[in-house]
Amino acid sequence: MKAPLLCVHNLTKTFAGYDSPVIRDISFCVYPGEVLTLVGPSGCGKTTTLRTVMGFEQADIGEVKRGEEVLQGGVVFVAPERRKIGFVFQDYALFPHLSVLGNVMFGIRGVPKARKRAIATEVLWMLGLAGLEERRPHDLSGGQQQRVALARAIAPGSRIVLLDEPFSSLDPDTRHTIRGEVRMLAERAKMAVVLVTHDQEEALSTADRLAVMRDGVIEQLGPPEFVYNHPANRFVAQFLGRTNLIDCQASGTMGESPLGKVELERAATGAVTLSLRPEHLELHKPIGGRPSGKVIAREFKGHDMTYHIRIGIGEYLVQTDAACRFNVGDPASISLRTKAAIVDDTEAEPTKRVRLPLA
Amino acid sequence: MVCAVAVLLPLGYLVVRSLGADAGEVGRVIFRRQSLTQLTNTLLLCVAVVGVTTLTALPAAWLTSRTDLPMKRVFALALVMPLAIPGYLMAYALLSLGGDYGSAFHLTGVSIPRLNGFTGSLVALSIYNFPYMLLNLRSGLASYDTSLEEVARSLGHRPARVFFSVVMPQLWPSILAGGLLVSLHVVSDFGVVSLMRYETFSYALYQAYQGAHGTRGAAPIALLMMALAGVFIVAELLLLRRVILTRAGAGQARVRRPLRLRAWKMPSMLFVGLLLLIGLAVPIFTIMYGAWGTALGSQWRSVRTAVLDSLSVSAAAAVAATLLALPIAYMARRYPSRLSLSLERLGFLGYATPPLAFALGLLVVTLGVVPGLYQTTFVLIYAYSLHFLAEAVGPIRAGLFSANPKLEEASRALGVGPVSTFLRVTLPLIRPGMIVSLSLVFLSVMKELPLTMLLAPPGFETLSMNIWQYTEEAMYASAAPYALVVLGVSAMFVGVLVFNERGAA
Repeated sequence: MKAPLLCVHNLTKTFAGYDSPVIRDISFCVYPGEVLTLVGPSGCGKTTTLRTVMGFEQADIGEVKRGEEVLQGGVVFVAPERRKIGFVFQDYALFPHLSVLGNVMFGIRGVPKARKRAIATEVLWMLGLAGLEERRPHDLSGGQQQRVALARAIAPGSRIVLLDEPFSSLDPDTRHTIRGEVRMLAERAKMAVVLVTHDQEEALSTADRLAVMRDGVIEQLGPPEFVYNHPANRFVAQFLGRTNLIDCQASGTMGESPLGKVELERAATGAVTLSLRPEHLELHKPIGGRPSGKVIAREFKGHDMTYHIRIGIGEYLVQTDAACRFNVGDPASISLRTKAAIVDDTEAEPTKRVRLPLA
Repeated sequence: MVCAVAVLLPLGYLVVRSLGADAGEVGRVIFRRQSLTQLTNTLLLCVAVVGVTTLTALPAAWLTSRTDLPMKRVFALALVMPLAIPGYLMAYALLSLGGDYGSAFHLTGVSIPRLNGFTGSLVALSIYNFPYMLLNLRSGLASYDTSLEEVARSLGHRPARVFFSVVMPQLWPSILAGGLLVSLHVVSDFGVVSLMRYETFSYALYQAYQGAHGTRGAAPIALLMMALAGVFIVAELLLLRRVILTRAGAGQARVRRPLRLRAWKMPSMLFVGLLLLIGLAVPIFTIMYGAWGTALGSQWRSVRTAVLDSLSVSAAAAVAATLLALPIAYMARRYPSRLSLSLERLGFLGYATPPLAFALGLLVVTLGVVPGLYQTTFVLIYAYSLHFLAEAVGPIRAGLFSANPKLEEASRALGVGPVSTFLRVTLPLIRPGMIVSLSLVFLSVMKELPLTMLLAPPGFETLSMNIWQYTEEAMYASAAPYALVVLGVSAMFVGVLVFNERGAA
């Protein structure tokens, strides 16, 4: 694998006047052409992580490296303006006293003015902003402001860009387009992008790798599909979408659950918790050997359908295709399409009921 | 830190000096009956002037910045013009207007009562202070977020209700800042109350200084005045702390759309017109009427000398004060700490200190410590820039309030160091505020009287000194040419100020 562009190691930061750190032992690396997404509920420390990497905040301990160069670590602390890292703010922070071109040219240095203009014009063109050079920031739409902010961050030629909740105030269409542009930029220019969001769907669709954060700690880091299908714990499972958390008695690769016998992704013994995504389950007419229950609700979502099934005292979500085969009140039983993911969670909490994921 | 020492030195001297005097004597001066009268008089005048200026400036500011009032620009410019008319000149105008031999009688044959005492002081000081309140309110209206107003409209509130439920809360910092400025003006005013013969602290202080005991007699009164000013400052500090004005939310503020006055157009015009008549037309007319028939030619040389003297010190002091104010306001806003915030307040302290006492302190300090500087322009400019530091800090601070700190971080992230960031991002954003600072200090110094009288080098005669001396001797006609010059120069600067405000909005 190629050498990482940015590496963060054991970063810990405590704000003055607080007892516990806002971020603790944060470690990750970002590679050329890769989008790493930090996702988590608000207040989990993702923005602080980003600001610490940029140097707006100084970490108590830990290391930040750009390539082989130490930006923070030991007695070294490189000022933000010397880090050669681009930063895009949530509210864009465009300079109101400068034109679009002026904003984008702002950070380009060490070349003659004509060259600066040429670079800025090219970046603007690349992001579809050609023709807006002389506009003032307040004359632009939200999406245009966002693109200008992005153009301004990459124009100086930094190969690392940090984006703090960059799409939160855009409409869904614009959001979708710009998300794609960020991905494309990363791939084409071989840039390392770190993106912060609280939106799990955005995180899953944008990231090459995903870091789920809670209370200042990275709970799990990996490719989105892996994290989604094999959540490390209950929190990650629930944060990344709807799931069924089910108690299970494991012995080897088989387990006994309220849904009947299930095959496990790995061997285990004793009480474990399983995370079964609604789309990993299948709905049947009652068949022998499996506990059966009743359909209590259904949600039609166009391309698919979600059923709420009550079996015993538990309630489970099952996603099927849109062809409607069950009605409310029909008897049904559930089987697994895949092997069940085991959630190693030390929190001792009864999980008789399915908990709906966080909005 | 240097600023702090520079402000504190004369103040400290004042305290030491008055404590050094016989403690019993100080006690006698402070706790006698006159002091209570003076305190009541001063407070009464403050409350009345702040009340009158707020009630008149609030509708005027709103009409000229947010509605479709015809000739808005002209009105806006004209309404701040009284700023150019010094208080003592206003007092002179009012005095010479009324009475049995006043210009009103000369012209119309109708004798209107001559204003003096409390009423005279109230009218003169309100006219003079009205623009300060107006400017504060206008800049408050210009910098705040109109989308909040639109939100309120969208929630079904009528414009009048929007004003009280949304606009007013956002204007509180402006009203407070304006009120504080006006109160300090009233406490330290000398020209108006001396001519109107209304016994406030400053008039009493002047009388005591002229009296047998000199500085020793004046110092205790100065302490009382400083205590009063301190109360105002602490009050503003406590009230402003709860107000946060940075725009939250995405994107840039939208361009505002003026509110339509419809049937209220004529009454609004009449209201603004009346304000202009009282604040501008009457004093200007009186000054011109007084200058009527005066042979300007005979005075030309001395007028020119006075102009050059005034201009040189005003410009130097304006630059010095703004340069001093910049780091103070910046530190207080960006790195708020107990130290930086109290430094910011010190600017107000220098302003609130009675100018006579401030000058007195400086005189003795220079005599004792650096006799070489005694009665030089350096000391004069030093005194001006520290005395008017508050006027320079205010607008810069207001500009920093609306400049998002994220912009500075964005600049740092783009590889621009702290110093360049300040020059390329912060400075352009607060430049409108800085120009306001420069203009305000310049105007104030042009009009300043007590400091100039005590600290001017021998042979140095500013415009204001000439005006006051002639007015003192009731030679109104001789004062008129100087007054006209001050009026003209100040009008140009007020124009710059309003033009700039428009550019920033």
